Amino acid sequence: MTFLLPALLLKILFIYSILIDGASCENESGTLVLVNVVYRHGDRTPVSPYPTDPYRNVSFWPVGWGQLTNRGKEQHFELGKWLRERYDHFLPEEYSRDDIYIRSTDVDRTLMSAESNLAGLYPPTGSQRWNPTLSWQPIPIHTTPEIDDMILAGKKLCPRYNKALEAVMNSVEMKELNRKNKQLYEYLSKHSGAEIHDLVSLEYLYDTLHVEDLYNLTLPEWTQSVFPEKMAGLAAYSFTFQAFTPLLQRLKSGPLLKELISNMEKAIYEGSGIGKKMYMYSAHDSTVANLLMTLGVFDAHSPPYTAMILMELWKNADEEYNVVISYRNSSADPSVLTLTGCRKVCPYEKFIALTKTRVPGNWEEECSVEVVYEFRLNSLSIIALALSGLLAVLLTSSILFSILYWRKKKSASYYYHHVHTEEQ
Amino acid sequence: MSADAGGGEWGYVGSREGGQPTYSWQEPAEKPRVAPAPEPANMPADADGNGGGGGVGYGSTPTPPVATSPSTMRCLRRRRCTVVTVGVLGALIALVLLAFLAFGKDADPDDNLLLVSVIFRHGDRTPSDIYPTDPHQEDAWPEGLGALTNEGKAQMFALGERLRRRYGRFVGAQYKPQTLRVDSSAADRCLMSAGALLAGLMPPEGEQRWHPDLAWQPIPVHYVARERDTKLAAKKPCPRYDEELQKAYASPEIQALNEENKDLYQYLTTHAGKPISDITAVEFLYNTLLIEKIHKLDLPEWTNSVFPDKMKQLAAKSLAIFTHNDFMKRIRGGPLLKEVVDHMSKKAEDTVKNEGRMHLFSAHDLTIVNVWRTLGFTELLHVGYGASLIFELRWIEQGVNAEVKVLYLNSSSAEPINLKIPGCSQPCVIGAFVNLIQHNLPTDTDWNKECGLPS
Repeated sequence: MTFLLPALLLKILFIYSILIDGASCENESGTLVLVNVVYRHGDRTPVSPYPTDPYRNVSFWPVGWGQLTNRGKEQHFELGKWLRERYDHFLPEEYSRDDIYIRSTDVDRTLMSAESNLAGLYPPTGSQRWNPTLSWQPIPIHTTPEIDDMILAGKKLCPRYNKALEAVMNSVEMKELNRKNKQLYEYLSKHSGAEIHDLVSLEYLYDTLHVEDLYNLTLPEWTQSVFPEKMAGLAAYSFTFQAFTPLLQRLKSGPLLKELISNMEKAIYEGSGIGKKMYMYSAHDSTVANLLMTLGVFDAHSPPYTAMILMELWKNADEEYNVVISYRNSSADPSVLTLTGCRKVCPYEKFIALTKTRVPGNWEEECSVEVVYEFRLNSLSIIALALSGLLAVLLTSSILFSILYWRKKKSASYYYHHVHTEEQ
Repeated sequence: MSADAGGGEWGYVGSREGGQPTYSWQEPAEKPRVAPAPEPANMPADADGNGGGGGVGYGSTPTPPVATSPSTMRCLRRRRCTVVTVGVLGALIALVLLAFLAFGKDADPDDNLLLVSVIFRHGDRTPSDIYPTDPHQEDAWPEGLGALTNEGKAQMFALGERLRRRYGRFVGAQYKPQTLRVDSSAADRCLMSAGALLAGLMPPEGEQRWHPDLAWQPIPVHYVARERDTKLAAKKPCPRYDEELQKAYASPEIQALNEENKDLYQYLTTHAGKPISDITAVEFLYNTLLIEKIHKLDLPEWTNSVFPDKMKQLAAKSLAIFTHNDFMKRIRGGPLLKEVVDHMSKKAEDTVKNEGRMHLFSAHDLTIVNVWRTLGFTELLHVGYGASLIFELRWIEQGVNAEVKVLYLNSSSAEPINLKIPGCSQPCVIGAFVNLIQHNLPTDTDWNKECGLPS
């Protein structure tokens, strides 16, 4: 045992070094097969100002509300370059539709973020240089109108989800939370002119103040006592709501998780080196937060601009597939996340088993079904239920038996006695 | 095709750069003749940017400086005081007028422009399918099949630059999401074409320059999935339409055409190694051969006697058969035309609320033919790469009455042709145009219903 420990440590270190050193996507212990990339757009203007906002005039934001700024373009251009560096030996320098698929929500800032990212990832080289003075090439970005998009935007109507979310928002815990923050809500409502009645509306206000602060605009006096400290934590916590319960996760983030898994499935089925190598999804802070929630690895926070989840599929020398999930929410190296019940390098089958309950079958059907069968979603509760059911049956039957036995014994003795009397 | 202009159409150029009211970002050297240059270099041509003499009078401004100066000279000999006064006054007037001509006219060609919609075909591409005996199989095309080539990117970039020269000042040097909207067919080559065109149309200027070495900025391109798309790919399934299409192929007119070309079909079937038995099969083969020719690949001997001449008209006919009758026009050309027309109507009603200035549609040859025929044009088109159907909405009388102008470019480098809209008098007033075309513009609900789909 004592000599096993250093060996184990060495092995962990070795695996870790592979993960850190992104450039070596191939070595004796494994080959990178596929990467799913999910990220948030870059720096943007506020989505909407609050009524008393001194910067509510759109002239402060020349690009308009909720639009990607130059900073945002740069950030994603840099992220694209970072991806190029990390996956340079994996993803060919020349763009090919056979290597990569890019999908974005149908919102200007995410479409533009994806474009900027690709400008950094795929500057034209060699024969792809089509314009002598322009180091850029067009690359298709796929999208679908938000009202049809359950996969990435998560905006397609799902009545069952809405109902379940409402239940969460009206739960005892949430009411308690709102009660605790009542004074803060009142203070914010009074000064901002907006109706702040829960953490979601608080987060909207926080985001606007946060963006204005980023742009070095002087915030009004009244904000000093509440921004950022008092609001930041609550805003961060609000990012857990959309995927608060297993059911919400399954209906909100499940379709995306299902697609990410199906991308990996395809790669495994087709064998490495044949299918696409990278799938890229350009979306929002809530998309990132919800997916992390769904994977059970979310530390409540507001995902910053360009926050990115990398879901890598590796194949080792024994032809076994592993999933490694990492999260990059700063310019530092991404940190590897560990799924509860798995290791950092999580065997594919194990990963599938662990996330199974979060992957919807027929999403449309599940959205319309009103019957609540949440219990089916949690195997532990099924076991618990079955076990306690069994125990209950055992208990009742044992009681029944003992009563019967007692009675029989009693009547038997009486009978015996009776016979005995008859003989008398 | 009623063409009443060409030469002068693309001549107008202008710039906001540096605040100078000059005509600085001029035509490229290879097209020097387009500006119908008036004598004074800084005086814009009257009919410029105005449909080649469509009749809206820019030419009516008199040129008094020339007229007044001789009379002032005569006065000078008679009464000195008066003459000096008149002279000074005259000079002032002349100055003001000159200034007006030089500076005031600056915005004129765009002044009456309200909205521009451009439906364009993608740029140069690789073949979509290859016939069995083709000496150039898939490996001859490193980009893959049906993909936009470098040539295609350059064509679209150039088309973007041309649109910038013509509409740049109208749309504004800076990209604004509320003024410019871009929709595309779901096909990669269309999405990429839209991107390349935008690189030429909207290079970042001033504050929008976000990267020191990159004269490009991201601009969103929207699309809907092919199976839902009634407008650009126009591939949303429509059972009733499919029936009509089969009927169209079986119509006496097309049957006669098949009979006429029986020997050709037989010849093509033998040599191409696949059955060629109708005009659409001819079109597909024609496209492949044409693309190979454009890319300077050697065509096999057998093609010499049939390509392009004998196949060309049949190919054009095949594009037209998809809008063979009114119902088919309504289903395949109507939805896109409706979007264009609705925008124009709304814009003419309320220019404040509707901030849109330019709407771009990145699509296919068939899309252009569909809309073309739905508009009532009957000529067969050979739609080149970057071919564009342009709709301009212009004031006839500011704030009162607007007209619709339709222009067509047969390829990214062709001269635009000013078209006379069939059945509409000139100027074609928006209200009249809507009335004329309304019966061909279904709503989404209508569309589903007429297709036999649940609405």
